[in-house]
Amino acid sequence: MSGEPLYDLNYISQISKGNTALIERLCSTFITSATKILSELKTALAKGDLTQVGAEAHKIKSMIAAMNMHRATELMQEILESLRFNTDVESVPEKAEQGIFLVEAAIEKLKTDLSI
Amino acid sequence: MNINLHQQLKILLNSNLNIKPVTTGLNCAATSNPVSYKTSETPSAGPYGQFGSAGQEHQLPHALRINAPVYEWLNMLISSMPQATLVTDALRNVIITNQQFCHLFNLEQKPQQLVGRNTVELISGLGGDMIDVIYISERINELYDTREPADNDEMPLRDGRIIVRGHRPLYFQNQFFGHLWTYSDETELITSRKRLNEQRDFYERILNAIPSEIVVYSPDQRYRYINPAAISDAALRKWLTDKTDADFCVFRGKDMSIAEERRAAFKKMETLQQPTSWEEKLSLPLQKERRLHRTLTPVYTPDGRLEMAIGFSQDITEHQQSKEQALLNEMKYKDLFNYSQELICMHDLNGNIEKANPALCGVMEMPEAALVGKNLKHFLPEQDHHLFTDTYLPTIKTGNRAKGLFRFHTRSGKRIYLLFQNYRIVHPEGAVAPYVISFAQDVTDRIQAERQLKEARMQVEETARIKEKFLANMSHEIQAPMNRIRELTDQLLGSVPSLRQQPALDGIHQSSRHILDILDDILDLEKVNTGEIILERTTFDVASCIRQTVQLFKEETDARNIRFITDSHLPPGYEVTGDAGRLLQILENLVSNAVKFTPEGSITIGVEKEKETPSDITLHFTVKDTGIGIDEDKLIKIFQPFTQAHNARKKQYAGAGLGLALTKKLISLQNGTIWVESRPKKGSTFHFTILYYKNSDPEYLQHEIKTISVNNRLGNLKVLLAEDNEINQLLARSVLQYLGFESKTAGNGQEAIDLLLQEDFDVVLMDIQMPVKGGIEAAREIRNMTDPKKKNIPIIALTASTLKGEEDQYLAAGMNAYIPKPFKEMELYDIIGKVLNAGNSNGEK
Repeated sequence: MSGEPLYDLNYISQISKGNTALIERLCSTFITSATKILSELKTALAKGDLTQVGAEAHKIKSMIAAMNMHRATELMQEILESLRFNTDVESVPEKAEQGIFLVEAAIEKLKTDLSI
Repeated sequence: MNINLHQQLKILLNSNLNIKPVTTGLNCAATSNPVSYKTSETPSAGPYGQFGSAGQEHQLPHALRINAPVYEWLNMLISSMPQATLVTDALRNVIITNQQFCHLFNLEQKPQQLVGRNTVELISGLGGDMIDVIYISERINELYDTREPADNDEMPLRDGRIIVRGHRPLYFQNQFFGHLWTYSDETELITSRKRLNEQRDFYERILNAIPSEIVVYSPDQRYRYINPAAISDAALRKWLTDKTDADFCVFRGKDMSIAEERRAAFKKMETLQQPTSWEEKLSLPLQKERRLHRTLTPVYTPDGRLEMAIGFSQDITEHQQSKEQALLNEMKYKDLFNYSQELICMHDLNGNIEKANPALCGVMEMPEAALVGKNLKHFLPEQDHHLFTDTYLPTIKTGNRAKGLFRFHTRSGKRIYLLFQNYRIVHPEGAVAPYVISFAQDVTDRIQAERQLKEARMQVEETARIKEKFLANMSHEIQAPMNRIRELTDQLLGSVPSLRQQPALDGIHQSSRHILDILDDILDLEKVNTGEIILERTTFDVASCIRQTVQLFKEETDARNIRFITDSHLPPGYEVTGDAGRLLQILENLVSNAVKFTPEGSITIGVEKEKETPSDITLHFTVKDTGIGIDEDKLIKIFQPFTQAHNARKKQYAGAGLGLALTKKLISLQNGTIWVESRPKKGSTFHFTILYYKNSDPEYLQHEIKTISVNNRLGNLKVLLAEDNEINQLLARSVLQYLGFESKTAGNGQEAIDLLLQEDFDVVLMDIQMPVKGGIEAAREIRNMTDPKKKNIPIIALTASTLKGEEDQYLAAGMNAYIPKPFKEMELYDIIGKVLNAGNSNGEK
């Protein structure tokens, strides 16, 4: 694994202008929402429903981008491109698995960091 | 075997000449008490005529006479001797010699020619051949003088030979007759013996130098050899040779059981015909008991008879103690492993379990045998396998240590959580392959409790959020009618009510004002929570804010005789840039509390600089009262919403409990903190800090001008945000708030349409993928509205997708522009400005 952090809060801190209550709420909401989307993504993967995989990737992409999860965001973008242009579709499940792993790890770290 | 002359004479005389003892009168003395021999018949005349014919007495040089037959007989005897032989008289003249003598000494003369010659002369002739002629001469002189028998006198010659000489005095009829000398070349024998002796000395030196005890026993178990390691006392070693172990025990006063034990071991060795070992304990006075490992090894002759037994002993006292200590330590470590409540296991670098302690087996509900040999991964839920393979194993292989949490399935299928800390063990010698020792704790209960707690907390938070939302909604709903009530009350009061009505109307007016204050607080709190509070940035005089606050409460405090003190450490007219209204709100909240809870005394409002940089300054404010104070257990709760430090049922302390919660959030918004010091019945001091910009800072001024110009250029826009994702909603609202725009949020396309139909907006930010109705569909419907203003409202697509070609769809649906999420303030500002300017241009056209 690279040395890139699992997430960083620079973007949301900058947008929140140091409003810690808002930052905490954003993080807490991220954990709840992302966990739900990951669960739906896993279900879609298990069913082999790539259309739904694309929909879930689309849903989570902007959220993880806001948390500066660069690699996971790239993976979601690649999934969307593969499905949109029907290229390299066979790599979608693997990329989705990798993305799930990275986001789950980030969620766990975020929970630890925020003592949630 | 060298047979000495005495023996030869004895054999020869007995076999050939029928010699009877003491008949011939010729004595050959092997000792100082010589045995005499006599012939039974008269011998014939010898070859040496000068000694006389048969029957005649020979005239010997030293006047002893022997008859001719005896001489002949003696001559024959000497001649037939296998050894070089010489008979001399007392004056050292040769009486008889033989050919062997001449050969031995390389003499050219015949034996007969040597008769009568003096041996001194002979030695002089041979002296050159002898290495130590002086010693040899002295020794001969000694023998002539003492007439002592001698054997094995060695005469080393220059040609390398070693001649061994023997000497016997000869007596005839009890009278000294002469000297019998024998010589033989024993070079080979002596050299061999010497070599053997050297070899023996060599091995003996080795045996003597070996620190282990070595002994050699004879077949009847007597000591033949003992090395110094076995017995250091040389005298005792010598004494013990040929003695038994029993002799040794008696002599040294040792327990006879030692000898018996050794005897039994010897017997066993003899019976089994194999080396036998046993451990012997030796108790020595004033010494610790010694433990010896003894071995007896039999040595057999070629024909299979026991030739000797070699005993070898090693002192194993220390070794044995170390072994016992090691066993004890191992036992302790095993106990530690077996009785530890910590869950311990060992596995190889691939995760294959090598050992598991009973605590782990207990938790896993299976015996050790069911764990050992299996891979740890086998016991993890399948969805965690990648964590084990991709994260745990690489970490432990490269980092020597790994810690974390794993979920495991027990035998009964129960899921448990183990918090582990594992170490890679690498032994420097590499005798043992690297392995991992794992220490773990079962934290299942803790995890479950935490999860329940988290769920409960989330539920509470969710409930609180719903409650706050409900409160906010209700407050919002109540605010308008309450404002109306107050307005109507004001009207009634303005229309000169009757004296009876006046107090009631005053009451309504005050109550409605109080309710409106609470509603403001509730709505402000909600706005802070949702990031909707907009902070202003204006330059203001801090002291002026404090004066305004004091003025608000002056009437009441004067009435109650409470003194107001201002303690400003700022220069007169000191200005900062920030939100003056929010500072007033904060001070008003805190002073209001101070006034409420201070029955008498004073209230002091203080301010000072705490930290200053070229661009900003942190001001430290204090609101200190001499009131009733706050109990310590209440201090930590007072900043929570709907919490009060004092009994709210007492009329004078009544309130919604929102003031401090809101104050804290407002301070936090301005990069500050709030804390309180309080002592019951002594009073309270509320401290807070706020970070303000310094208006003298050129960078700030530039920023301020830019911000102002932004506001000036676009005005206070009202934005409709259509976004279903809560995070994106919060982020977008925060950006809009920063830009100074008012916003309303719709959770999907349909809600956006409904809101737009109800209210006027300046711009719509439209997410694409939303439930119920997506952004594209909603945009199309908006473009089909009848109201021209609403129909032509600028719509900006908010898209998570950055795929090429997708933007065409948004534009085709009637949207004006698009912005990928997440976006920054200025990006959104620019795009809003762009679509508004484009709209204005189109309008102008």
